[in-house]
Amino acid sequence: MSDENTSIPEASPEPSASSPAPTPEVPATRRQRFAAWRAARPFWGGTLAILSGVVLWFSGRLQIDNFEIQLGIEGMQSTLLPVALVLLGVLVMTQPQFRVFYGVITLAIAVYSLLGVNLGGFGVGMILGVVGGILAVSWMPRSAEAEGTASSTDETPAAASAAVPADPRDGQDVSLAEILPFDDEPARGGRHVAVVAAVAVLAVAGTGTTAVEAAAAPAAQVRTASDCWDPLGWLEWACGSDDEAEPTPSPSPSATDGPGDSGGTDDGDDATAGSDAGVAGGDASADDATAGEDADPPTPGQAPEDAATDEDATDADGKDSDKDGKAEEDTPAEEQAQDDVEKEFKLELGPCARITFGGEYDINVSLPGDCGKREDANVFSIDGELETRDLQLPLTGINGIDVVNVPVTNDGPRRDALRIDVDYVKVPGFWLKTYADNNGKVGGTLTDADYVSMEGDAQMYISSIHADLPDGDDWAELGEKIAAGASPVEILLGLTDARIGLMGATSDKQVWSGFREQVWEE
Amino acid sequence: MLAAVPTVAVIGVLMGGVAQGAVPVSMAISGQQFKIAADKLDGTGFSQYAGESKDADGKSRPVAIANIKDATLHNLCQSVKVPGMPLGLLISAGTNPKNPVKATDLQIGMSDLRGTAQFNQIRIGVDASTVKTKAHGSKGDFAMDSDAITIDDLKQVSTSTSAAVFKLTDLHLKISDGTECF
Repeated sequence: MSDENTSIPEASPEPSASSPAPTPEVPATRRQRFAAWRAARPFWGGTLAILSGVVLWFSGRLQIDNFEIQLGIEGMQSTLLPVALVLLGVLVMTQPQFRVFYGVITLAIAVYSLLGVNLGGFGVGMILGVVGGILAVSWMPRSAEAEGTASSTDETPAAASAAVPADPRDGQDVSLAEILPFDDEPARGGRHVAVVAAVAVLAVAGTGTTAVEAAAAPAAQVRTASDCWDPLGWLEWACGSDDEAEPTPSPSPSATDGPGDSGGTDDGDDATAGSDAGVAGGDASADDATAGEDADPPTPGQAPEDAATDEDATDADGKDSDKDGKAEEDTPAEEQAQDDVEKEFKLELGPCARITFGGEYDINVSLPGDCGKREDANVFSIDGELETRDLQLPLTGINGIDVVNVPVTNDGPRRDALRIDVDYVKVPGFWLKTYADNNGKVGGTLTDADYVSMEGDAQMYISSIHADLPDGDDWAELGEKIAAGASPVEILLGLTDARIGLMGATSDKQVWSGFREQVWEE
Repeated sequence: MLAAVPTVAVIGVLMGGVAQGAVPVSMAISGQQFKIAADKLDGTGFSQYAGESKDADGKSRPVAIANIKDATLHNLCQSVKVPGMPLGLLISAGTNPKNPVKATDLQIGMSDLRGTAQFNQIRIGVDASTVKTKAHGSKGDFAMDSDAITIDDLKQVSTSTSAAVFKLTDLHLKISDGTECF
C-alpha cells in the first residue's frame, strides 16, 4: 500500500538522471565516490540482472558440432535470453530513468527463462533475474525518494538534505550497505528485504509441488552406483564384471574349464586356478606352454581326449585343440581339403569372392571386386567389426546368400558385399566396433551385448569374414560338411571366433539384450 | 514492489504447469558429464551416429549422438555432480507410470549407454548422412536408424541433451550431496 504511494511520484521524470545526486564536495575516497555512483542508479538490480544472464548463458550452452539442424528456436533462446539480460542490466545502470521499462523486460525474460533456457538455469538464473528486475523497477533516485519519505514519514530535514547517505551514517550503516543490496536508506532497505524475502518464499512455494530440497538425497530413490564405473572403456579388462559380455569369449569358459580339466592336481578354489594353471603349463610340453596365458592347461594326457570330444567346437575346447593341432600338422588331406573348400566357396559366391588362407588355419573371405548385383536401397559407410561367440542360425538355415554391389561413402562410390538373408538369427556374445572420423582422429563406438537377435526379413551385409579354423582335422570335417551340401558361408559364420566385417544389417525387429555401448577414441 | 506480485504469481503458475507436464520446457545441458537413467524409454524416429561435444575446458571429445523424434520416458532420473565436491543436482520426473515424461526432437550426446533395446525397422551401418531423422551426421561415418526404439532399464552417461519440447511431469529437482542416478 505504501508501495503504491511511493511508486506514483517515482513515475514522473527525475532530475537525478542528468545530475546524479547533488553531491556535496565531502566524499573524497574512492569508496565514497563509488557509493555515490551506486546510489544514483539501480545498481543491485542491474548487477543481479547481469549475473542472471551469465548464469543462464553457462547453463544453457549447447556445444555439439554437427548441430546446424538442431539449432532451432531452443538454441537461439539459450543464447539470446542471457545476452538480453546482461544488456538490460547494463542499460538500467547507465539509463536509470528507464528503469521501469528495463526492469519489467528483465522480469519477463527472467520468468520466461524457466521455460526457455534449461529450467531458468536450474532456477538460479531465473531467481537472480527476477530479484534484479524487481529491484530495478522499484528503485528510485535519492531526491525523489527523500521527498516521498519526508512527506510520509517524519524524517529530519538534515537527513533528507544529506543526499549521500554514506558520510554521516558511515559507522552504523556501511556494514549493511556493503552486504545487502539495499543501501539507499534504512527504511527502504527494510522494505526491500521484506520484498526479497517474499519473492524467495513464494518462489520456493511455487515450486512447492516440485519441492526444491536442499537436502541430502535419500539413497533409496537413487539407483545404486555400479561397482566399477568405466564410461570410456579404459578399464575394460579390470572392470569386466560378470554381467558384461566379454569381447572375446576365451576368459569365461576357461575359468569354468580350469578346475574341471586339472581337477586331479588343482586342490585350490577358483581364485587360485590361474596360478595353478601356470604351474601346469610349465609342466606341459612346449606347445602347451603357450596356452598358459589362457589359464587353460591341458596336460598331455588330456589333450587327445579333448580333441576327440570337441566335435561341436565349444569355445574353450576350440582353443585347446587349436594349440594341440599345431603338433600334428601337414596331413596331405588338409591341402586337398583347402582346395575343396576354396572351390566350394567359389561355387557358392561366384567369381567375385576372394578366398585366402593365412596363418596356420586362417581362412579369409573378402569381396574386393565390383561385380555383384546392384542394390541401391541403403547407402553404407565404413564397415564395423563384428565378433560373436557363435552365430545361431535357424534350423531352416539361410534363405539366401548373394553378392550385391551397394553404394558406399568410403573407398569409392560402390563396393561388393555379401548379403545374407535369414528369417531369424541370434548373435550371442555380440561385439561390434564401429568407426567414425572425428576431425582426423579415429573414433567410434564399441557395443557389446549378451545377445543380439534379428528377425523378420533380416539381412546382413558383410564385406569380409575371417575365421580361425580350430585345427587341421577340421579341414576334413569342413570338406565333408560342404560335400554333404552345407553352405560354406553358413559354416564359416557359425565358427567360433569368426570376425566379420559388417557393413550393415537390417531387419524388421531387432533386440539388443543387456547391451552396453561406449565411445572409443584413439 | 508492485512488480513482485504478478511476477511471483506467474512463476508459481508456470512452475505448477511444468510440474504437471502441461507447460513444456526446452532443455539444454552441456559441458559436463551427467547421468540419465530411466526404467523405460519408448521412442519413434531414432538415429545414432558419431559426433563430438566440447567439455568445460573446450576440449572436444567424441560422443555418440542419438536423435529421437518423439520419446516417452518412464521414471526419469538425471544427475550432475560437481567434480571433486559432495555437491550435485538430482532431477527426477515421470514417476507416475500413467504420466510419463515426453520429449520431442530429443538429441543426446552420450559416451556410454546401457540397457536392453528393441528396434523396429532397423538399419545398421548406413552412412551417417543418410539416416532418416531430421538431424544427421557427417558423410562416411557408421550410423544406424530405426522407426521405433524401446530401451528397458536405460543407463546413460551424456555430455549434452537438448529437446525442443520437454514435458517433465512430476518434476522433482533437488540439490544433492553428489549422489547420482546410478
